[in-house]
Amino acid sequence: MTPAPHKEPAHPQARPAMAEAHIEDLSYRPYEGPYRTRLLRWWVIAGAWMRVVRRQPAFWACVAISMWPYARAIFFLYLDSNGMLRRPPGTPDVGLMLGIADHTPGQQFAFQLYGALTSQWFLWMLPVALIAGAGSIALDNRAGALMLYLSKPVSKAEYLLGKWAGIFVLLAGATLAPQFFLYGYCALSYSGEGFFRNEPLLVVRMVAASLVPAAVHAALLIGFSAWSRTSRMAGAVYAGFYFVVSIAAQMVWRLLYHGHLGQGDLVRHLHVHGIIEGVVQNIFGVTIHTITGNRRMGIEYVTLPPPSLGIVGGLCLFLMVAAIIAARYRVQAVEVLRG
Amino acid sequence: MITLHHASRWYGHVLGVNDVSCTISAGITTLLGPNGAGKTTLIRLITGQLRPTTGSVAVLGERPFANPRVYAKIGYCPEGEGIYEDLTARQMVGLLAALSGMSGRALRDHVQHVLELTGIAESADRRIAGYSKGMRQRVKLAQAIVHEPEVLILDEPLNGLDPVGRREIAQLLKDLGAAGKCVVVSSHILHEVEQLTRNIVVLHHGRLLAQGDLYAIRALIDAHPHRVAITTPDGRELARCLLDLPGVVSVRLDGGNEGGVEIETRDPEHFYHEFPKLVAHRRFRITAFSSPDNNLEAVFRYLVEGTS
Repeated sequence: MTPAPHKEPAHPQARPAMAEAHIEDLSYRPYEGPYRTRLLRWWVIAGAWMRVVRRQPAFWACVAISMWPYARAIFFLYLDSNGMLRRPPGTPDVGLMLGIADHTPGQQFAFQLYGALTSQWFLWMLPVALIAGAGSIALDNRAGALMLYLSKPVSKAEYLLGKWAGIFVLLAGATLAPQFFLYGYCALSYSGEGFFRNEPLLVVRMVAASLVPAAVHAALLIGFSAWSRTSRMAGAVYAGFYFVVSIAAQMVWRLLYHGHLGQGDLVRHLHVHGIIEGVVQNIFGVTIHTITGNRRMGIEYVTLPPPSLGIVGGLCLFLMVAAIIAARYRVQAVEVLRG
Repeated sequence: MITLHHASRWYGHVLGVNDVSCTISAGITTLLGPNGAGKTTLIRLITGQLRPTTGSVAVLGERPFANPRVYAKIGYCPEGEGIYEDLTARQMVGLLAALSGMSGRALRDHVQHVLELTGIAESADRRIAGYSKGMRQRVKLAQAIVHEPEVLILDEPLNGLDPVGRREIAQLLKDLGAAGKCVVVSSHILHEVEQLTRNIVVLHHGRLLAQGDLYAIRALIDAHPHRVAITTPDGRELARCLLDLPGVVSVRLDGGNEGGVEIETRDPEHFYHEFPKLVAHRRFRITAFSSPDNNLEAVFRYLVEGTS
């Protein structure tokens, strides 16, 4: 039998095209890789949420803006180290009165870290927190994705833990990074002036204090987000709650304790930022000296020691637990309407 | 694989599913019922999103409600959107595969394989926001099968798909059913579902109307005699002969050269046995022959009308 003579294809392009063609295997093949333990599945949810937030330019822009209190702190430290904020003995301490420098031994640098952290969180980190957290569950509500998430081998608690952790890691990162930067600046600039000797546990306090606002805001945000169908709604309601309660607490404090503001510590802290500030003040162990007042009431020089850790810590835990319980109640794969 | 034992679900005073008992085994089963029949409630009971008010539901021998062990063995494709528009199909399916415990390179390879199976691989790196309804449907199906579930619950999986897409997905479902998976499909596209399986579960007003083989159920519906339509030029002669067959209750003649004869019989088996003999013996010329109500749509209509 003679082999058939070789024939060129009718179309010159036909041969390469056929060579490139392949038969797709569309039969179902089983997964052959390892299975991860269930203990860490909440981290998958955290990672997924962090990826969503990290892709938003607004998040990074707000994080950058939120760091300006650290630039201010470094500027005042620079002025202070050049003697511009120091006055001769017997004259008022301008830095202390303006709340920009404290020369009390043992809290000189803690004061700066505390001041930068609370300034950063009172206003500038709020947009960051809203971007990082307002949509966390609201977007799932709107997309109906809860049904998919909760049909996978993940419990409601793991889902909430994942969402909380995703927000917490983002917020803690945005707080710890500038805190470490400021700490590094102080360590490098003032190591010869007793920085490590006078405040040896400062780095531990700093890390602990930085995690508090991130933890509280993350918990509150998942609570508000779980009850909203859009991230804007969740963000607006949370921001409203945050500012209204804050302004109300400040007004009540000033009205009730006019003339002896230092005594109304608990009232002063009865709002989200106040509670966080109280816990953070305890962790840093700083006493605040400040001037307050207005034209009608006059100027008052106030010393504000840390509030009772038991009370502000308890309030802090209460807020977090209440928010998480509210979120847990609301998060359901399907919305059951009662007839 | 799925067992419901007197399962009922109430939403306050509204009844979702009423005293349903049935067993669904491996292979494809279609869940049928008009709007409000309780299909979605039944699906939610099976997928463990709702707890039965009374009775019990078991999937692979375990209660599914709030039981992640069972969730690992169930793949669920909901009717609604349920997907993040900001993610790509690959990210979405990968995320849900990771929630099932898959990880690393094997996860990526498997996700790619599933995306190819569902015909979405070429667009897998585009954001879902830009997808058509059919493509979204494929993404939902991909996430439902990515973790190799034993039980697959699909709520209207053919919605939004073009004819080619429907054929591809139907073939995939057939393959999964043939591989021993329990595939439950809820659908309104009756003629397409009929191509998938003859095994049906019919719900109406929350109650189970019928379950089993489509033709067996049809044979049990006595209220509606079986209709047979025959096209022949010998209509009158054929009609006369057909009237003599036992079980034939009516014969209707349509006019014209290529006239039609439609008969109704209460004994279709006997009719189908005798009819070829009659045609051969009398040399009738038959050009078309069909049974217009021996299909899913007719069975569904008769069952639902019978209870209305």
